[in-house]
Amino acid sequence: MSAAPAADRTGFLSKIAFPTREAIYRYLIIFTIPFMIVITLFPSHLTSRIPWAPPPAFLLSIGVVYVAYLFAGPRVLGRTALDWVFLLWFLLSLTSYFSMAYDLNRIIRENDFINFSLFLFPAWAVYRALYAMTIMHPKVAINTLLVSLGAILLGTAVLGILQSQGPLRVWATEFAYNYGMGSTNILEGASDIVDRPTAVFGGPNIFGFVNTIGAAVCCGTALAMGKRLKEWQALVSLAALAVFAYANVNSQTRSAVFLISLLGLAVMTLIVRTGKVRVMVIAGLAFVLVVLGMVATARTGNYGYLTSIFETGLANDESYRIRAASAERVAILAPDIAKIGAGQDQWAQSLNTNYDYFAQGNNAADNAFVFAFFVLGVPGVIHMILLHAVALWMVLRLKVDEQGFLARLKYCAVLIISLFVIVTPVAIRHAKLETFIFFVMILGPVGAILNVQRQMERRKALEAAEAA
Amino acid sequence: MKAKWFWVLLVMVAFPVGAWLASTTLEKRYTASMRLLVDTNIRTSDFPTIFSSVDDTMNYGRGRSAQSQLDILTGSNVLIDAIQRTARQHPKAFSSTQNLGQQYSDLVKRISFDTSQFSDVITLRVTMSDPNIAADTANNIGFAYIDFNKKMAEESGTAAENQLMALIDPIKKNLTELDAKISKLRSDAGVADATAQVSGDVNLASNLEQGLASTEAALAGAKAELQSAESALSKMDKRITASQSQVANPIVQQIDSQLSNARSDLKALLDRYLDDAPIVREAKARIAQLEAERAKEVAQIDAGHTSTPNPNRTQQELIVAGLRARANALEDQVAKLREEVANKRQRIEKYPELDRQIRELERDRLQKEATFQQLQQRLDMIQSTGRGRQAFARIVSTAIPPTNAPSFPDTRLFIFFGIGLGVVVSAFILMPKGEVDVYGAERPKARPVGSRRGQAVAGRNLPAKPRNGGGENGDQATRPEAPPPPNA
Repeated sequence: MSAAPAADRTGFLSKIAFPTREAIYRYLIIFTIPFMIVITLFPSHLTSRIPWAPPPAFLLSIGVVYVAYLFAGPRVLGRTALDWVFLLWFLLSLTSYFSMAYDLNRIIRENDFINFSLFLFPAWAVYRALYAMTIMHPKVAINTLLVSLGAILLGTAVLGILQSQGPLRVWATEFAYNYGMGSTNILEGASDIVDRPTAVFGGPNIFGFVNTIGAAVCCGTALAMGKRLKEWQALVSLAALAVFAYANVNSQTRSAVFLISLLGLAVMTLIVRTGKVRVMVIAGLAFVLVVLGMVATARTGNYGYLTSIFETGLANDESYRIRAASAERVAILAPDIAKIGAGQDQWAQSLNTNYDYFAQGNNAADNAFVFAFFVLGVPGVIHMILLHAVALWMVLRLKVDEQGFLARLKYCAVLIISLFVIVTPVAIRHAKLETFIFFVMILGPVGAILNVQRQMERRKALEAAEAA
Repeated sequence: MKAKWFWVLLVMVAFPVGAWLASTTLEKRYTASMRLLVDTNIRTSDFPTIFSSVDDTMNYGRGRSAQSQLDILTGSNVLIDAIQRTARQHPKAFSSTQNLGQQYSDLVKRISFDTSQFSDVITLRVTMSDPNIAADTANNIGFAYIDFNKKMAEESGTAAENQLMALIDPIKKNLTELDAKISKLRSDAGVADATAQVSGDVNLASNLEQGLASTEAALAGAKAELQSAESALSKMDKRITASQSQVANPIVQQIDSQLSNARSDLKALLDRYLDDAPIVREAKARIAQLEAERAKEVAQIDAGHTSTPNPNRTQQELIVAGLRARANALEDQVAKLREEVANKRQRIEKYPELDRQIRELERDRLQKEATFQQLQQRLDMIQSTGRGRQAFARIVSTAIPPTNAPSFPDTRLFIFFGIGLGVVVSAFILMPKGEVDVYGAERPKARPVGSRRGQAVAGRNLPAKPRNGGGENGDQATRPEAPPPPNA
C-alpha cells in the first residue's frame, strides 16, 4: 500500500485501499446488529447441541463484547445504571432461591436456576453488546438497530398475517415452527381451533406486544423527524403501522391493539402539527383507508377472542377471571413470600399450579407487579419499579444535541420503555426474554450515549476549570 | 488491568468453592417420596336418569381429577390425621410449641407433588430435616388419605341407601295402586283376560257370520224353490175329467158327402174337358174349399163326461206348503243370526278401549316394576358391600428414608450459584466506571475531522481530550501526537 491517499493514486488496483478502522467497525456493526435480531427471532436450533441450549443471541453477544474489547479496550465495558439493576436482580434471585429451599421448604431444581440464568444473562449480554457497538460507532449502531428492528419486526408481522390467511398459510406456519423461537405454540396458534397466530413467538400476546414495539420504532422515527417529516416518510410510517396493527388484530391481543391505536393517533397528531396541508390530506386519507380496510378484512375472520369482552363484560371475561383468581392466590401466599418471594422456578410463569403449596401463585395474574412480588417478594416489586424507573431515567437524560440519530433513538426508546411500563398491570414483559430483549436492545445504545455525554460534560468542565 | 484479571480469577474460583463449603455446612433437608394410586374417574354421567342422584351421592367422595385428589390430600382432614399418626411414631417430629393448626400450615408447605395426565399415580414428597420422619410423614399422609377416603365412601353409601329407600317406597305403593286399577277394569268388563276374550269373541262372531251367510243362502234357495213350485201349482187344474163319450161329427159327414160329389163331378168333367177348362178349375176350387172346411172340423165330438179333483195339484200344493214352511223357518233363523252377529260386533268394538286401558296400566306397572327391581338390586348391593363402595386409593410405592444426598443444600446447584455469582462479580470487576474515557485508546483516523460520517464516531464530536484525561479508570491516556497502537 502506498502511503499516498488512495484518491491521489492512479489506476484501478492502486485505488483499492485497505479498509480503515472506522470502516471495519461500520461493516461489522451493520452486519452484526441485524444478525443478532434475526437469530433472536429465528434461533433455528443453532445451539440445541450445546449444554442447556443457550439462546444464539447470547453467544453472539459475548463474542461481540469480546471482539469490541479487543478492538477498543475497556471503554466498551463502561458501567451503566442498568448494570446495577441486573446485579441487583441476580442477587435478589439468588437470595430468593436460597430462601425458597431453606425457609419455604420448596424443592429447588437445577433447571430452575438454569432457566433463570438463560433469561438474565442473555438479556444482559445483549445489552452489553449493543452498548459496545454503540461506543464503537454510535450513529451506525443506532441507525442500524432502528432500521433492523423496524424491518425485521415488520417481517415477523407479515409472517404472522400469512399464518392466519392466504395461500401461504401452511408454509408460513411451518417456516416459523422450524426456525422460530415459539416451538409448538406456533402450530397451536395457527390452528383453526385457536386461530391466534403467533408468528415466530411463543404466544399471540407476545406477538402482539412485539408488533407494538415494531410500530413504536416506526412512530418514534417519524416523531423524531418533527416538522422535517416528508410525505413519503409519513406514508411509509402509516403503512408499516397498518401492517403491525393488522397483525395485532389477527393475533387478537387486546392490550396491543389498544396501544397500537394510540401510536397511530400519535403519528397523526404529529402529522397535523407539521402544518403541511398536502401531508395532512394524504396521511388522513391513508389513515381512513387503512382503518376501513382493516375493518372490512376483520369482518371476514374469526375474532371471537378479541371481541368477546364486549359480550361478556370485564367481570365475566375468562382472561380477567383467571388473572383475578391468580392474584387472590398470591394474596393468600403473601405472608410467607413477602420477605424475598417464593423463588422463580421453571413453572413460575405457567398455569401449572398444583405441584406444591406455593405453586398456586404461578402465572401471577399476568401482572408484572404481582409476579415480581410472587418470585422476589417486596424487594422484587421495588426492583421491578426500579428497573423501569432507571430505564426511563436513562432515556430522559439522553440529550439529542441536534443529532438526528440521537433524536430517533430517544423517541423510539421513550415509546418502547413506555410500552413496557404501560403493560405492567396486564402482562409480564420484563421477565420474558422474548420481549425483554427489545427493552435491553434499545437501552444499550442509550446507556452508551449517556456515558459518552457524561464524559463530554466532564471534559468541558475540566477544560473550563483549566482555562479559569 | 492484570490486577483486574487476577481478581476475576480469584472470584471465579473462590465463589464456587465458597458455595460448595456453604452447602456442606448448612442444615440439611431431606425429601421422601411416596406414590399413591388415586381414583380420577369422572364422578357420574350427566345423562339424567333416576339413578343420577343416587350415583351422585354414592360417588360424591370419588375423584374427579388428580387436582381434586391433591386438594383432599392437602386438606386439614388428611394432614392433621397424618400429623397425629407421625406424632405417635415420633413425638418430637413437630414443634410442641405449635398448635395443630400451625403444624398443619407447616406441613402443607413441606409437601410437593408430581402428577401426570397419563397416570392416576400421584407422587407425594415431604421435605423435613430428619429423613426418617420425612418418610414416615409421607406414608402417614397416604394412610390418612386412604382412611379419609373410606370414611367418605361409607358416608356416601349410607346417604345413597337412604336415598334408595326413599325412591323404592313410593314405587311400591304405586305398584299396588296399579294392580287394583287393573283388577277393577277387568271385573267391570267381566273378562278375566281381555285379550283372550276378544280373540274368542272375534272367532265366534266370524263363525256366526259364516252361519248367517249359509242360512241366507239356504233361504234364498228355498225361496226360489217355493217360487218355482208355486208357479207349477198355478198351472195345474184344480179338477180333472174322470170319464168321456164321443160321436162322429155330422158336419164332417156332410162335408165328406159333398166332397165325394164334387170329386165325381170333377171326374166327369175331366172326361169331357181339358184340365184348364174353367169348369174344371171351378170344380177343383170347390173341392179345395171343401177340403179346407173338412180340415177345420174335428172328426168326433163329445157326447158327455164326469170330473174329479186333480191329484197332481194336490201333491204340488203339499210341496209348496213344505217349501213355504222351510223358507219361513230359514227367515227366522237368519233374523236371529243377524241379531246375534250384531250383538257380538257391538261387544267386540268395546274391547279395544278396555284393552288399551288395561295395557297402559300394565305397561306402567311393568316399568315401575323394572325400576323397583333395579333399585332393589342397588340397595341389596350397597347393603351387601358394607354400605357403599370401598375407597379406591392405594399406596403403590412406600416412602423410604432418603439415605443419599439431601434435597437441600444441593451441592451441584450451590456450585452453579457460585459460578453465576462469580460471573456477575467478575463482569463488574472488568467494567470500568461509567465515566470511562470514551475517546478510547485512539481516535478513528479514516476521515478528516468534520466530515459527515466521522461526526458520529465516538468522540468525534466531543471536545478535545485533555492530556491528563483517562488513566484513573483503567484506560491509557491518549496522546494525540502518538502513533496508533499496533492493533489498529
